[in-house]
Amino acid sequence: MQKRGKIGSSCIELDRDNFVFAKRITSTFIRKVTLISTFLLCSKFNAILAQSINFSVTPNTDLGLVYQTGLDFETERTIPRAFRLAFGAANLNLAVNAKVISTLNYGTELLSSDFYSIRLSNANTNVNNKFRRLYQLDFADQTILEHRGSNRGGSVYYDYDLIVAPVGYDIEPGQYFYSIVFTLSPQ
Amino acid sequence: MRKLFIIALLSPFFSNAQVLRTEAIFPFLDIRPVLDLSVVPKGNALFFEPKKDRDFLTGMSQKNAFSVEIKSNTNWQLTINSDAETFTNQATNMPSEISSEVIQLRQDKKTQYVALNTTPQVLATGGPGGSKSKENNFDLDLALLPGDYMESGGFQITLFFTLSSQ
Repeated sequence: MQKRGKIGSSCIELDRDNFVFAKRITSTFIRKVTLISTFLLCSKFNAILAQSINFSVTPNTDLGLVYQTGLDFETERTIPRAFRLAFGAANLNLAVNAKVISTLNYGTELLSSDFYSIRLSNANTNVNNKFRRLYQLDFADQTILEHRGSNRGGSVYYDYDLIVAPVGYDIEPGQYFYSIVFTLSPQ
Repeated sequence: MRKLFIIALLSPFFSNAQVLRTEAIFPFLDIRPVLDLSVVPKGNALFFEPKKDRDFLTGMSQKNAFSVEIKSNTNWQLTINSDAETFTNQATNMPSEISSEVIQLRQDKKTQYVALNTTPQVLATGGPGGSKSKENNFDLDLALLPGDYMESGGFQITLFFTLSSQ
């Protein structure tokens, strides 16, 4: 009996230790699970945020320019209301950044990136005057617009003129293709 | 752990650098070869009236008789030629015996005179540039070397300036 009692007593102590140990493990596990769940929820929230933005950039006309007369080469050329930035109704404040990339080049030399500029021509919403200036585009992103989101009303659009600086005569004949890339970031 | 938890909780609200969407348009420039030539005679520089013996024997010249402007985005050459091998008599409208080669042109003092012929003769060459570049904006000197024999009367000849890419 004594031997059995000792054994029983020993077993009871061991169970208590296990209980405390198990309790600690469970607490840490719950914290970790909570942390991971929070990360996943935040990621999901971001994904939902990204997916809910209805944003498009659409050319309103042909964005190619042909150069063949002296006047073409020597003067600034403008494609009025060349493209439209459009936002669907969403209660988000967004910054629009723009940059230009030289993509394809069928001449033997690479053109510089600073030929293109854009300027807000027309919008169906109020725009801060500081975003109505001429923006000369470059390889680096620059903020050209701050869109104030609203759930009221329909979509909001911004029409832009595309302006090309005089190219001069030092550029070899050829076709030079560009991408003007617009990115949205939350404010 | 608590710090990590708070950072994780707040991370979506401090994500200004995050890019949500990207869109693009694709403009292009189609640059064609251009060769633009302007040749303008200055004043009465194209009219010669040789009277004295010296005019016939040593010739007459008109400095800066033509002003030339070239606009080109390729290497170019300027040639000159006449429409006939001889001058035309203005009174009879018939060919004379006066050779076209009595007319000579040069770009400037550094170059030799080129005799006028029905075959195009190179007057000048250059590279890409507008009319404001020094290479593409110059004058031409004109000379008349009639020699010791020339018919009397009025005679004319047509000059053709041709700009071509090299």
